[in-house]
Amino acid sequence: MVDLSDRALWEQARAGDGSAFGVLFERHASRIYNYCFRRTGDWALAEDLTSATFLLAWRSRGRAPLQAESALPLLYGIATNALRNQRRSLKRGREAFARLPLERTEEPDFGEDVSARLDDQAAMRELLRLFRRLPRREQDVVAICDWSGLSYEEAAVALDIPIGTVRSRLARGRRRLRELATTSGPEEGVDVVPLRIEVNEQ
Amino acid sequence: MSFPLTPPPERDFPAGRLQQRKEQLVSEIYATAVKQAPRYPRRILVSVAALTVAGIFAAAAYAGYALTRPVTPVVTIGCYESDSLDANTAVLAAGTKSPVAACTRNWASAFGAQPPASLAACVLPSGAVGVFPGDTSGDTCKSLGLAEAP
Repeated sequence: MVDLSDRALWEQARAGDGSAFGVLFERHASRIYNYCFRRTGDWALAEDLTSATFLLAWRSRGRAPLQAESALPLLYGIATNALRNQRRSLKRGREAFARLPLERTEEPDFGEDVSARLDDQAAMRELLRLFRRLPRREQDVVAICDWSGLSYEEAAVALDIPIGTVRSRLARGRRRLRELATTSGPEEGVDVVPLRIEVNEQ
Repeated sequence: MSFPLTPPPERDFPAGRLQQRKEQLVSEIYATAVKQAPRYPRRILVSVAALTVAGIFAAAAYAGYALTRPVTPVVTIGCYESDSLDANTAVLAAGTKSPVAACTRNWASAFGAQPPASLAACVLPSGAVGVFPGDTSGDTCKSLGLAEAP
């Protein structure tokens, strides 16, 4: 089953096969996890939101045929909605999972990079402080295209908007972000260095 | 100090946690499926049971009515050759106070045979009187699902 395409797994899931959906989870959970982290600056919250995203995807599978070969655009779209309605999504996810206690396991790999993850959180929150001053629609496009590496086409599917809109929002978002970065630094009295974000106006 | 606009590098979902979350998700999926599965048939079963009960009440009410209903004013009497609603029937104009006597009188001309020793008058589904070979104990009418005519 692990060799099957996303489309085949999604079709099996739509027919009610939970294990096919489990394979999709294993395949894409890390991408969604990182996307949720970059939108929240919180690894634990990102983990909960990842579960909530997949639960929402399972519940909506009947209404949502896969439009692309990959399930990622669809999952990014659902995650974006889950982030937007964070409180409600988490409440539903936690209600659903409350019956199944999630035991914290020893995670040697996690333990080793725990300080790195704490650094990630600090850096991400600093970046989000600026990023959240963008209009929400531009935040979505920048986070999906620039931070997650989806193509314009995939972003258009994820956000259910035309490709032209993806391009224009991305250009505006990038420009605004540059302007914000040059006018407000992370701390008072600290110089702002040139951006490291790659600007690709198209 | 720099202020990068690129987020920190991606990190893997911790392997053990990933497996745990996956198992949790799949369990929730199956739990939901089990919970939802009987919802549809149960609704049908309740409907079928309700209809069955309603049907039983209706049948009982009809049977009670059929076995006790009074004779309605009629213009004909049916003389049945045997104790069956499908038997040959001689239809007589009503106007007699004794349907049994009327059928006895007309039996030979209608069926070419002597009338039976006893006849029973019953109330037909139409409300008219039907006269059948049989005794007057009321069993003949009952066996045909009819009320006994007064």
